[in-house]
Parts: sequence; C-alpha cells; structure tokens
Amino acid sequence: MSSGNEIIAGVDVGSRSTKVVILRKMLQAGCQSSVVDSLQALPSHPEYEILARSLVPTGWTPQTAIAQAFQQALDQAGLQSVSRVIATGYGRSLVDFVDRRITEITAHARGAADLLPGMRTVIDIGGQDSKAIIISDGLVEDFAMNDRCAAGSGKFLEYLAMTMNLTVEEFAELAYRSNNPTNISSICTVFAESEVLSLLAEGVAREDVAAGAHKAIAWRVAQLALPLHPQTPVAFSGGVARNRCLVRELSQALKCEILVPPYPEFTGALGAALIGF
Amino acid sequence: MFEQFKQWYERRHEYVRGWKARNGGKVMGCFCSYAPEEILTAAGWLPVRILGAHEPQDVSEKHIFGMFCPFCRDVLAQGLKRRYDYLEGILLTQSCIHLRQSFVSWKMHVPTPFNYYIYMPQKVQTPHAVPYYRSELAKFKSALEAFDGTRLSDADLDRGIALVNENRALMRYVYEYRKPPALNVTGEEAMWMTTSSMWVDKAEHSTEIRKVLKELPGRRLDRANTARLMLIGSENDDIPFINMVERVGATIVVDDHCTGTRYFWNQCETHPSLQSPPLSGVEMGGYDRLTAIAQRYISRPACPVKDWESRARFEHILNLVREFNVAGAIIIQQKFCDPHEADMVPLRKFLDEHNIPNLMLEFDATTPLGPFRIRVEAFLEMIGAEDLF
Repeated sequence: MSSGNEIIAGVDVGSRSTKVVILRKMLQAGCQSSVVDSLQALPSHPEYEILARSLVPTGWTPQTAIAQAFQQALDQAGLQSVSRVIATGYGRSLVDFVDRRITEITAHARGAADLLPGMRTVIDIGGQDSKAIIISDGLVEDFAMNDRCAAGSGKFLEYLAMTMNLTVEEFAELAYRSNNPTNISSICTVFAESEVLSLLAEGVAREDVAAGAHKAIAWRVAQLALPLHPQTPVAFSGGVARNRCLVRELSQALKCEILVPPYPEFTGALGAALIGF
Repeated sequence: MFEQFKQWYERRHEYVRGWKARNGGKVMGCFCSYAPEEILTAAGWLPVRILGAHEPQDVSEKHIFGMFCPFCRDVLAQGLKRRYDYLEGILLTQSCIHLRQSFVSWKMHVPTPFNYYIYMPQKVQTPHAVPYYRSELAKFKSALEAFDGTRLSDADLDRGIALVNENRALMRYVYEYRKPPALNVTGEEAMWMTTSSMWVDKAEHSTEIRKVLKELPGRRLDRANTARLMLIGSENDDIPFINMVERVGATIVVDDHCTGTRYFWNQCETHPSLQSPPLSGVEMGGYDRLTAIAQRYISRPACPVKDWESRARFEHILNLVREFNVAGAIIIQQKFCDPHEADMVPLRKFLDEHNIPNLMLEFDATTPLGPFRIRVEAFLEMIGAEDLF
C-alpha cells in the first residue's frame, strides 16, 4: 500500500476505550524500537517498530477521546504528525483525520495474525459485542458477531461485577480463585443479574458465582464460534483477554488452548495500522 | 427514472384510494405472494399485498404471541390501525401459521365484506398438488363470482392471465439490466419496482416499466466496481437496509424474496391461441385456465414453507448466483420465521459448498442499521480481502 520510511497510526474507537498505535515501517530488517522497549517489550518485528500506544476511555464524547488518545500517542512518539491514519472500531466514522476506515473484524484478524503468526481463529470480546473470526491463508474466511444482545460481551461482565459491588478486575480475580463455577442459565444479562442475586442469597460462594458468570459468557462466545468450525490455534484479542478466568473458561468451552497476544487491547489498533502498510 | 415506483412504494394507500376513485373497483388485501392474482385481475379486483410499516407498534401483542415473526405482527398492526380501511376483502393463500394467525385475527377484529382462505397445498412437489389446487381455485372463483354477482368468462381469465404475465415478464426484462458488469439498476430501485407491483394496477405498472426500459440502455450508474450481492430471505421491503448496503460499496444485483423474484419469476401458461406467435396445429381442447394458474403457483420458486423436503429453491438460488455473477449473499432472516430458520443450516451449507460467501442477519420490524453496517462492511472486506493482508 505504501513505501518508504512511513509512520502509520491505527486508531481503534471502541465502545469502552479508544486505542492508538503508531508504527514506523522499517527500511531494514532487525531494527529495534527504542521507545516501545523502554515501556514494555513487544516482540521486535522485522517489518515495523512500534513508536507509541495510547488508551483513553471513550466515554460519552468519542471525538474528545479520539483527539486525546491520538495526541498522547504523538507525544509519546515525539511526533507532530503521521503519514497515514487508519481507523477501526464502532466509532471509526468519527475519526475525521483518516485515510481509510476498516471494520474491527478485519483489524483484529490482521493484528492477531501478525502478533501470533499461524492463528486460525480469533476471539475478540469487546465492550458491546463479541466476535469470532476464522482466518485461512492469511485472509478472513468467515466471522460471526453477537446479535443485538449484551450476553457474551464485556458489558455482561461489567454488569454482573457491579451487581456484586466489584470492579471488573476484582470480579475477574475473585472468579479465578474458584474451582467450582456455578451454572448461570440465563442468557439475558438482566435476568442473569437476578439469577446471581438468587444464588448469593442461597449461600453459593461468591467466587463460584463470579466464575459462573465467566463460564456463562465463555459458553455464549463458544456458541458464536462453533458454527464456524473454528480451527486451532485460537487467539483471544481485545482488552477482556487480560481476564485470566475468562481465558480459562473459554479454553474449556472451546476445548483447546487459548493464546493471548501481548497488549491484547491494542490488537485492533495494530491491525488497522498494519493495513495502512 | 424509478421515481414513480418509489412514490408508489411510499404512498401506497394514497395510490390505492386513488385507483378506487378512478376505477370504482374492489380491492383485495392479500396476505401472501401465492394469491392467484390472475383471477382477481380477471374479476376487476385490485390485488394489494399487505406489508408492514417497519415501525414500533403496540397493538398486535393481544392477538399474536410475541415469538411469532415480526412481519406477521407488523401486518396485523396495519389492520388494527385501520391503515387498509379501503379493502372490500382479504385473502389468505395458506403459507405459514404465523401469517394465518394475522389473517384470522384481522378477519375477527377488522371485518371486511369478503374474506377467503385458500387451502393451497404445502407439499407442492406431489403430483396431486396441481389438481388439488385447481379445485381450490375453482371454489375461490365461485365464491368471488357469488360475492360480485357475476360470472368470469374464459375471456376474463385470459385477460387476467395476460395482464399479470406481462407485468412479470417486464420485471424480468428489467432484471436483465442487473446482469452486466456495468450495472444500470440498483437494488433499491428494483425493490421499489417489485414491491409496488404488488399493489399497483398491473397495466399501469407495466406501462411505467416500459418507460423505464426505453431509458435503461443509455443509463450509466458508475457502480461497476461495487461488490455484486444477492439478498436471500422471506418477505423483505426494508429500503433503509438495502440503501445502507448500497452506500458502503455493494450493489444488490438479484434476490430470492417473495417480494422479489419468487413473486414474478415464472409465467402462467396462456391459451395457445393467445400465444405470440400463435401456435398453429396445437390442440386447444386440452388447455384449462384454472389448471394453468394452479400450475404457475405450484411450480414457481417456492417459499421454504412449501419447499420441503426437496428444497428445490437451492438450485434456483444457485442459478441466480451464476446468471447474475454474484460475489456473495446476504441472508435476511426474519426473527422467529420458522420455515426460513428450518432452511438456514442446509442453505448456508449449500452456499458454502458452492463457494458463495454468505452473511446471515436477523431482522426485526425495525432494523438496527449501525450493527448491521459493521457486519456488512466486514463481509465486504472479507470478500475483497486480497488487498488487506
């Protein structure tokens, strides 16, 4: 798509957070990124170096979040501008300084395929939807998204964590301690809240209820993926992939190992930037 | 060029009221595309397909279970809201139980002077289907004649068959302009045309198509580089959806809908003396008009409710894919539509086996355009993925 020593930004405007990744296309193989290495090492890549990453909560004014995230990334990289901007995510149409827009399906597939070469299936659980993407010969072969329902999305976890008066991180760690996740049968997020409250009232251990919520979302996502006949290896991208209980439950639901790329929340932004190459 | 069809689509009730004022004829509300329009047209009735309004409504819940399809509930809501208050009759040709519930409820709560339920066979593949349906059509014709106090002559039926056939043939001509790479017709325009044909007077509609056909050869839309998609599903007149799809890099080139090709694709055999050119030496005594009409509906591209177990529709879809050089298909699944849901797994398997990329979207009475847009754009990226990786 482009040539030379170009600097490309990927902007992923998600419902929960806006992420920016800035890449420099390498002229020679084997270069190292001084900026990213000082932050936290991503594997060095022969074709590009990561100059910056930024993440800002999207909130209720996405345009403000986009501007802040982009400026933070520019500052981090010590740049005034970039050569090209590729936007993705549900709010991609709100990025007005863009050269191209792509969907998060393609962006996550591209990013995961780059971070974890050989991936055949990518699961991304976002704030308001979840996706299963099948990759074949480096191309998106098929995909599925949850349909107009919060079940199977990050929002489901947020909602149930709030029910138990916990942050999402606390909720995940509590769940991870459980060896006996309970069954939460309600697919509907609102009904699941009632079920959680009933289980707690019955005296079921909090960690088992929390793990049950994770098991429910993993089952839901597996139902999304299984009709696509997912092949291994399976990658889990997006910020929710930092939730190790969900990784465990997803692994059990799909009956395979789940691989999480470094900085999973930046997978979509990285993929968008790479499409600008 | 298609503005008249758009106007008819958007102002359907105004059109029908105007038709009644001009012609003094009666209007039959038809609940399904299997309604024998040849007989209605022969009798001077205007067949009007009853469609939903694609808006939230709160009047049908008392009459139809919430897990019946949104289309049948939307249809009933139009009756309960008196939007079709100009009808002299309503007609159901047996299709699915959801629509039957709408018909029964409409009959009960929005009574019309005439109503009729034609027991069209579900298994159209059986050799008994044509004679059975012919006998049902004869009873319907008699009921209509009794209501009108007239008798339909052979000449009346010939005229009805000719008018409906002409309209079908002309719409197929327009679809021919959707085949070449240089597309001359958008899916939205085609949808205005096909859906409006379900309530506009056939002769009037055909006259308008003839005007369009004169202008089409010189038209250039600059859509040659868009992805050529097919729509597959049940009833679909969701203009905002098709408009969105055609704004994000695709053009709908053909469809398999009962508001599209399934409605008009095949013809009713005409009397040999009326065929052009007349067939000399053909035995005319064997021709039976009601059998010809029955044969037309029994052999038309089937609704899934009538396509089990042969699923002959799949081969028809494949033929359309090849004829119209389709790059991918969007399957429009009306939520809770059981017949189409029964087809979903084998249909997608069939499309996959023939390397036809496909995207299934579940529709409700109103369309969530934002989430659908993401899916459609991702689907288009998937089809054209070579420049992304």
